[in-house]
Amino acid sequence: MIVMSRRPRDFFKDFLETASKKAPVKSEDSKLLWDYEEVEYPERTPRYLDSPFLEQVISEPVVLTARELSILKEHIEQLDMQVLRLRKRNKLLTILCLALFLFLITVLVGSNVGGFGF
Amino acid sequence: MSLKSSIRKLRDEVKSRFVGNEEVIDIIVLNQLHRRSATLIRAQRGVGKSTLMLLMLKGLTGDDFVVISGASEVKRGEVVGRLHIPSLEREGVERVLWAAFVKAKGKGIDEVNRLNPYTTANIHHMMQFGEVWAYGQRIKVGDYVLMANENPADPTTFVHPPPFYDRFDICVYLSSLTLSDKFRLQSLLENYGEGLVDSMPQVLTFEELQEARREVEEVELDVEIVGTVNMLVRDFQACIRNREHSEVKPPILCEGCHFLKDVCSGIKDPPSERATIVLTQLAKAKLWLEGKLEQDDVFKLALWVFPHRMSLVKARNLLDDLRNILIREKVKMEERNARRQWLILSKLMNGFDKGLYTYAREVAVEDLVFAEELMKLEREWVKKGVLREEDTLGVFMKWR
Repeated sequence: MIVMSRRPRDFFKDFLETASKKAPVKSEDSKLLWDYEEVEYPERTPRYLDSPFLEQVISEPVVLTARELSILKEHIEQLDMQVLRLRKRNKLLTILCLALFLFLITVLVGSNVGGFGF
Repeated sequence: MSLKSSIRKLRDEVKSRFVGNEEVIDIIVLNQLHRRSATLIRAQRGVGKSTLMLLMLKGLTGDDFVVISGASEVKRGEVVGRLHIPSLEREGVERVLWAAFVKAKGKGIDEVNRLNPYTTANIHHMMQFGEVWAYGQRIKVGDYVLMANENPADPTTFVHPPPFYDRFDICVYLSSLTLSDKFRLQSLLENYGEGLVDSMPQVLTFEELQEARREVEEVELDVEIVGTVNMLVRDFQACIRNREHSEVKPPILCEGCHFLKDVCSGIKDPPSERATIVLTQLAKAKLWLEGKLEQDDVFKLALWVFPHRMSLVKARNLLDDLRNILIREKVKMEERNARRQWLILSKLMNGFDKGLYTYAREVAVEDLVFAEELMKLEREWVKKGVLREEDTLGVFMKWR
């Protein structure tokens, strides 16, 4: 009996090939060329708002729209909240350190003076 | 009458008895076209959740349906099965009397949010494995139609776990009636009186429904549609900081992440893989029934596949917020085409090319899902010695 071995279909490759055909390119001197058409994002913010996260420096002045400004405000609010959270944690840890330090002092003084034995 | 005509007739019969929410009826009908379909209807009280559920069950199964109510004290024995006492007393044999709910082809659950955890666990098991257990005995449930409803604003006794809701293929929301719809409802009630649901005919037999389900299963989708489904779900799941296994969720997880304004940052808990399966089934059903399916249709169907499967970071109005995310997602897919991302990836899969790789890296910084695929290729190139580990995107962006 002859068993035909069939290679499983690579759906991802099929998808990539179909998607590639949908967006054609020209080939010139082993370089790929195409006309880039800007896609309009209904809600996307401009790239300069990303620059702090990408550690980029903006050299030109930028004008913000009201929506971009509110997004910036939202980011700042979120960062403020994070700062508050960290401050609270910091305070708590300081108190804990102080308490431990006082406890240590008490133990040291107590054992040296001989008021109570450990 | 052909199977497709019967399904269209079912849709028309329900629409002639149910005012408003036409889009919801369309999607519910499509959702019946695969095995062991499960539909969840969510709405405020008095909007018609139970009526719609009964109309669908009656249209598909005639009188072979059982509705259990979460509001009453429904017990495990009434939902799954109880012990036949005479057999135990006379013969010492444990015989189980399986409940009508298990045996019926049509299963309805009214006010599912009020079911107790034990009953819910049994129904969950049935939806997961297609079987039920009682007193150490098992019965296969086979194919069925399951419809459930709940009012999420109701104070409930129990909060069901997300995996239970995930077993429902779709979750539709009904809105209250507009002014003109209220007039239409009054005229409808005048015609049918109390017998609105009773007047609903069984449009097709259960065997015919199963035949339609088999035909839908055999439908082959265009590779582009499959790609849209997979991309959509992956974009909703992906997070470079591994949200799935992280204790903290967005927005905290997003702090310092440059994908902050991407689709991923708006999603707190991602959808499961089941979303891909259901969306594919719905796409097949639509193509089978209407003979055509566009990319836009996938986005419309997706609106009902996601609401009960994921949670958003800031949900003011779940459906509106989800619609906005889907619009952003659609543009993102257009941008991928404009940048020839998939062409570049396809070429890179055939072999390393420095120029293409440099471009792909730039793209990957703005596209998480593309970055994942590029990083997979990078790992292969590192193994082959074509690329140094320290030069990879993952190391450069501190994603590893």
